[in-house]
Amino acid sequence: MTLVTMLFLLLTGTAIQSLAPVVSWLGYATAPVLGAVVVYYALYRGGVMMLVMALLAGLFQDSMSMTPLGYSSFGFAACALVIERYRDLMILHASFTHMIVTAALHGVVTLVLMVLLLKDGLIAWHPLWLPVKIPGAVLMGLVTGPLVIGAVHALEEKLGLIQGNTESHGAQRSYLGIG
Amino acid sequence: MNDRLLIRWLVLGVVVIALLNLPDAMTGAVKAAFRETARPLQRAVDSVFGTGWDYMKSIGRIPGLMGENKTLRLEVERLTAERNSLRLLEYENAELRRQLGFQPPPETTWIACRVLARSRDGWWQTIRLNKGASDGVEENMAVVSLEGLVGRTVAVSRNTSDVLLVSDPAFRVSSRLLRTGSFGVVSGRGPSWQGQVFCRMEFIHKNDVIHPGDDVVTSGLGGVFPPNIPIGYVDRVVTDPSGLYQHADIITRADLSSLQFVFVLNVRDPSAAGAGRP
Repeated sequence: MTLVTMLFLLLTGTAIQSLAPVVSWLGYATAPVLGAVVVYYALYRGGVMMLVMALLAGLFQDSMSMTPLGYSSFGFAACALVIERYRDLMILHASFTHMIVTAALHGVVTLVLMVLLLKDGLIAWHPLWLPVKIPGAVLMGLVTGPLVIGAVHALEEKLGLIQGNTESHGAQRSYLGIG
Repeated sequence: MNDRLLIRWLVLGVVVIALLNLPDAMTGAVKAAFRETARPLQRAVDSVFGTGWDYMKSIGRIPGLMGENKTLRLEVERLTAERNSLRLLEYENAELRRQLGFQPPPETTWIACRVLARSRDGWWQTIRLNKGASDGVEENMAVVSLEGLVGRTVAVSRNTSDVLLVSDPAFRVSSRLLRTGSFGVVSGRGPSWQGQVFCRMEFIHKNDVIHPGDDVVTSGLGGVFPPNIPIGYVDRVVTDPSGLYQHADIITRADLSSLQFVFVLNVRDPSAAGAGRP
């Protein structure tokens, strides 16, 4: 069931992300639906499952654009490992945490992608990318994070993959033998 | 850093290095497989939201539909008459070409496609179509709308294909000014931060006289794009700092921001088809 859920999240996330609207005044920053799913796995699961999700989410994201295969996977997986490393310091169920972490992940991944694509000469430099696109990505992360993470959490709760929400501080996770 | 975390970083490193060093053919195959996996759901989401959006738009258009219907009927009659007269000219043209020993023009099949998705990240200007290799689409085929050039296919999977739009900075097409016959190269400039899209025609001879509004079409040089496909019209002309050339900002004929249906041009050159025969 867990694998089916992962596949469902990846496919739905890819479809929604590729069709979600973008605006020019945020530098065409996308809604980080797949990024938020990776954040969810980093906060609530960790371990091998988190890495697999980060790699697959990156592969789906790269396959939907002309980005070389592996760039987004690298960004997602590196951020997921950092989030997992410091999640004991976070209030896991707070929407504020979801907002900040998703915003940070999307900002960092966008910056890493920009640097890698510029380094390879695959895109031409635009002076407004740094002051507009990166803050735009952070803003999109702030908005998208709590929505996606809340939805994924509710779905996993309905499917019985995690137990009901408990007041949790630090890494008091309640799994049914997962993680 | 504990051992488990170190092992994870190592595994990540190995996987990413392996991914980045995949041969081009394999990268294309992997990407195509992921795109094909995501296609059914992407199509479903698109049809739900697309159909909903179409209904919303059509509600606002109900008062004008009668008038529009009448205008379109008249247009159909006019075009049918025009097509019949053109058919006669086509036969006559073919006969004259045959008598003069001209090579027949390449046969072109128009593959009608629906736009499934648009690249949203702003790094590139691409769209995804709902037709792929199984429908005869191949890489580097010209893509047009009824208004003009849209782009060229860059990645093709079994049932989808990605199109690099004419507005992308990586796009290049050999072009010609219709009025003067001057040649140049049109490349995309990406979208502006106001959302407008424009292209630039470069390497136009410094002595050519160009006016705003002049039509720009494909020249047919280079092999990918058939000649005389409308690209756009000149917005303004600037002399290159080197003084050797001038360039013109072009506004595209096709409205690239609201594409719903496009055509992939499958050009089959009869002379090329016969060239390999003994």
